[in-house]
Amino acid sequence: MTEDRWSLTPEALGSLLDFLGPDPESAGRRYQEIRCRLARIFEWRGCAHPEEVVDETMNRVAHKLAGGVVIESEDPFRYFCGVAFMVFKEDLRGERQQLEALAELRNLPPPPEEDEDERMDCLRRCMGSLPEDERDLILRYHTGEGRSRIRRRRRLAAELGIRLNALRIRAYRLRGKLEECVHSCMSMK
Amino acid sequence: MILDPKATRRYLLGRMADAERDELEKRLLAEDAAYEDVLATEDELIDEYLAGGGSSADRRAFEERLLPHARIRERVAYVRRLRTLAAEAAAAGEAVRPREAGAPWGERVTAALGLGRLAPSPAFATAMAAALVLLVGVCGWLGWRAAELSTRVESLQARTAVAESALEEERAAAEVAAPASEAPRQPAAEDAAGAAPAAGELARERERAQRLAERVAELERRPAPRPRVTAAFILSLATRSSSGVRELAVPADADTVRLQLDTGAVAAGSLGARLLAAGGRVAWSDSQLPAQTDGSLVVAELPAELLTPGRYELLLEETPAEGGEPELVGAYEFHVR
Repeated sequence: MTEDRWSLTPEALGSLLDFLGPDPESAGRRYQEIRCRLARIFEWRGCAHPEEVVDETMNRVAHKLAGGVVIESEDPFRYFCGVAFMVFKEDLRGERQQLEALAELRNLPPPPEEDEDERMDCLRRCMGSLPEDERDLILRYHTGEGRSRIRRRRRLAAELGIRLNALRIRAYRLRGKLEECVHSCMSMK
Repeated sequence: MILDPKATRRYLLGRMADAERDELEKRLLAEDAAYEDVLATEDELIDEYLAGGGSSADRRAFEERLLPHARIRERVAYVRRLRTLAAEAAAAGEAVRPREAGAPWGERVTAALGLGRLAPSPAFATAMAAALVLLVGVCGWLGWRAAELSTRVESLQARTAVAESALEEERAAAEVAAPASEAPRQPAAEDAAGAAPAAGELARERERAQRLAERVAELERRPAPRPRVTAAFILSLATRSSSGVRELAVPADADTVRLQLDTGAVAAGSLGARLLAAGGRVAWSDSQLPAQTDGSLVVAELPAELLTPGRYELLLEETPAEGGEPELVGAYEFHVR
């Protein structure tokens, strides 16, 4: 990253949100979405510190806007993407250092699981609150190992009359639903 | 289908070319469906990792690229909890649910042997099924060898019978010729007319008998062709999760190595296999393995000369009956001593 980092001031953040849309609430959502997606993409690229790269990306775009530059881009997402990839390439750590940083992360001890029992308890409750067909789908989806796992999923997709890819997406959305439920449950404990 | 699942998998495991990756990432930022698709594939990789699936190269890539991130570790913990609940539900459900006709081969064998109560765990059922298959395989091999040897014996007996028959003919011809020489002399005119052709025929018969005798002697001297030697091994998916990698001792005189892969289920589509040697080099492949005729066992026959000492991984891929890309359904690691 560049040495003279420029911090995101409230005014600059305002310019950034204006760039993302006229409605502040939806612009705020788009801002969070862009940050989230960029962070994922940098994780998938093997970046050891994706949040830092995303911060730098946001800072640069905000800096441009605060400096009065008019950015004419049909799709703000794509514009951020272009800046983000440039930042990623400029990352002074380089590929080898990224791998070393990833190796360091791998060696970190796993997070403490004092609340594992509570999480399981919440998950059981949330599973019980699902409609029967959804509960059946998600439990059958995650049953089995090796070859039987794949066979079960094919059978499940055939029973539902959908393709395997559609089943995959459906299971993913159910996991998301359960995860939100568990999060709410944990916050009440 | 928004994205090609195999391409998404390559992307997540860091195997996509730069240009293709850049295009995909632009879509991920702009298209909600594409982004969701990749997140769903990420979960698939996590589930596969926890289930012990995927090739060793895939698992290494997952551990090196994705697992270091805290978000992924949390996701792994979450999916692990889901799998725990699913296993609990499956165990509770199987205790009261009757066996389905389409149940995996291992389960049907266990039920047929009346071992349902004694073999509650799939691992035990698989081990029992593997032991039974091994026994059947050994008996089958012995039966085949016995049949082969019996055929050879019959062949030698037949050849001997032919040779003896020829010698008998020669003797008979000689006896006919001898009495003819002792018979009362015919009038000189008949002698002169018939003696030359008879002598010629006798000479030809003697030559033929001589040739037959020499041929039989040659056959008996020639060493019997060496029978083809096949070394057979059974590899099961359970082998991968046990301590250590399966060690195979391939006999030095083996021509073929038959690997019987216990897959745990009968394939609906066609099966192919690739053998990866050190460094991920593809040492052998067969896109159309013989159809399964023995429950969940799949047979792959390889030339023994390919399996020099070292570590290998055999990847089993299934192409759905309705067509499409082949999908990895099993990976079997082993070490050749």
